[in-house]
Amino acid sequence: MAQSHASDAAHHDDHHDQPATGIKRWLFATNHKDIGTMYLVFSLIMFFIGGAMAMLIRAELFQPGLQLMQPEFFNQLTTNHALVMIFGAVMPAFVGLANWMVPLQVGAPDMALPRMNNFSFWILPFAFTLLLGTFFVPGGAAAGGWTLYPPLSLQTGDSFPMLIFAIHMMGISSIMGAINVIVTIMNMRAPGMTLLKMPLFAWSWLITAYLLIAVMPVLAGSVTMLLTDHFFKTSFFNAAGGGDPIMFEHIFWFFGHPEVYIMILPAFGIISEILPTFSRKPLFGATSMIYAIASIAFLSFIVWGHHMFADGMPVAAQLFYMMSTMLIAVPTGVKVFNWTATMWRGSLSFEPPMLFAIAFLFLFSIGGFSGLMLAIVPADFQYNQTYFVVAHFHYVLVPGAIFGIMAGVYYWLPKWTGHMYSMALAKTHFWLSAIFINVLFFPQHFLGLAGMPRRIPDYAVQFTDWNMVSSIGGFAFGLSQVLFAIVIVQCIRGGKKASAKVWEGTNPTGLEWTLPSPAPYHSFSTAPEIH
Amino acid sequence: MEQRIELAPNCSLTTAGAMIFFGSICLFSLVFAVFFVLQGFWPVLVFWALEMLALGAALLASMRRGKYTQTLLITDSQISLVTRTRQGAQKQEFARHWAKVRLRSPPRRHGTSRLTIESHGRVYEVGSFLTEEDRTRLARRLRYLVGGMNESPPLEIDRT
Repeated sequence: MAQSHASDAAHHDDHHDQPATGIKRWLFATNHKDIGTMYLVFSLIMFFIGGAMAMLIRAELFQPGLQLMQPEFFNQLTTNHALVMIFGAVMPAFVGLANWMVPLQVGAPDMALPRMNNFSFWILPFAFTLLLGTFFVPGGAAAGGWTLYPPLSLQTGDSFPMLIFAIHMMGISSIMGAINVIVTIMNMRAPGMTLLKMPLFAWSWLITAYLLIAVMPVLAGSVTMLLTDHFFKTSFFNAAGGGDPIMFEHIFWFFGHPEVYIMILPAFGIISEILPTFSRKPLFGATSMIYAIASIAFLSFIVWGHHMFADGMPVAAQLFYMMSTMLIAVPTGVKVFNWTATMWRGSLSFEPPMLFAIAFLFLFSIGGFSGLMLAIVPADFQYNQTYFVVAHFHYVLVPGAIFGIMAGVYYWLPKWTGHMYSMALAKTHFWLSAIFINVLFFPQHFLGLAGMPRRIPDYAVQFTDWNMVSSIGGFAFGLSQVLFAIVIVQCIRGGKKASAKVWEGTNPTGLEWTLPSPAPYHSFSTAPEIH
Repeated sequence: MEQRIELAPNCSLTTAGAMIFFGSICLFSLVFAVFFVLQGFWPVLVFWALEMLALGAALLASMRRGKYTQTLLITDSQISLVTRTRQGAQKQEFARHWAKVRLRSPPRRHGTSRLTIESHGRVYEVGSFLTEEDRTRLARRLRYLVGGMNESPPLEIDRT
């Protein structure tokens, strides 16, 4: 809805039109807060579904031999765990946070296109019903990995078209979400809210939306070509017909690598909001943080080849991809040093969002360092297809993306609900998560370096001990997430009243803190003044 | 004595800015699409075109709202409503004494309300682009300034 202002004196009154009640409120929701809530709830449900798949995977890997399932089903679980976590949990969570926070942060009354916003959310339940439904059709779900490399992925049974259609729907939803964010930020900022005055979260989402818009047609095109190769006898990736299956890998990773940054850049924005608040200092080098995010986004387009070193490529290409990948460490280093400098000599306090932000800083850096190791071509030849890679990307995505999301939820939850949550429970959730995530993933570095291949349900006995440790960590990490759900439900149901500023004794920046808690159904009925 | 009310959606993007923004994003993503077309993967271009169409339509819809403004000028005897759109300006005039302000409830539960000025069988909508909250507040103010049918309250005191 257009933001409006009358030139005559504004007379404030307490009237707010109330949302409709019942299921229709959610079915026909056009309010950015309702839609943001739906995205976040959906993402939490998918997080538990994807997590349940992970628990099954870790249960099977608890000891060598086949205990619980056949290898085909194990591969279906690994493939769908990835698809559910990436497209169902992480991306919708960030879109949900964007829906809630971007209009509040830029001073807009709502997202630019509220009906499209509703549509982009409601595509998701259908997409994931279709995806999860693939487990129940003849031939089972896709089992060739989330990367869908042909010709393996073309051997998927009857579920193949369902999978492709589900991916298309997820892509459409993501694109519509990105378009809405980009148009809202570009056209609905409050008067005086210049781009450089925007909070880091809004900035990180603007850049993420650019990435999404640039790479989603590539994903849509690549999976469509898989479909036509499968059903219409085209030969885009079929060597027998003159096609090239390796080119699918190029196309996929041209999408896939920026996708990794799509899942991490908004987390950078969240962390950049939280650390200054609980350090009671302004963000160190705020402008350089924006340039660093933009640099990382740009570099993400030219590094995709590092996923394919072992396929074979000219030495010049190997060198290019190795160097360009290592170059990402520079802007990432700028960010890590700026965050550290923000905390340096700050008056720190350790509320749950801050704890998650600090854990993000430490653990994401571990994922970054193992990424640097993987960027080295000769080393990558050794690490490729081992558990080292699994450890690396889980260190990036779980303490990176998911801890970022949890930090954001704990930061803004009182603003959304109007209640403070149980600090003790949230801190317990943090400590259990922070400890067991390392028990879960750190041993996988050792397994990978010792040569344990990924994507297998059985393994040689010398890998048993660390697999047991990893599985115990997995079960404990998974169970501790129940606390997260409990904290959220408790906070929605009631609790100590939250003030507008929420975090007393701190000085959080951003327009969202000028609104009462909970934020009213319509946020800014007159344009806020930005100084 | 007169009261003037300007209604305008807030747009942070100028037309030129929107064109530059859209052009740059088109070019930026076209570079990648063309790269893959040159490798023989033409379906990427189709999806690129569809996506840019969606982005363009979204931007256009958002920008068009910014072109739609309304000015209400209320004098002792008259109400004039100037509605400006991309096609130009339209002026409606009502005798204040006989005009009436109506806020119609949403036709269905999740619809939007409609604020109208009515007189002698003519009905004109005001502030269709406002939020519900803004529209309700504007309705209150207009009711005070215009009064009911067969009323002309004094304009100099505003107690709303």
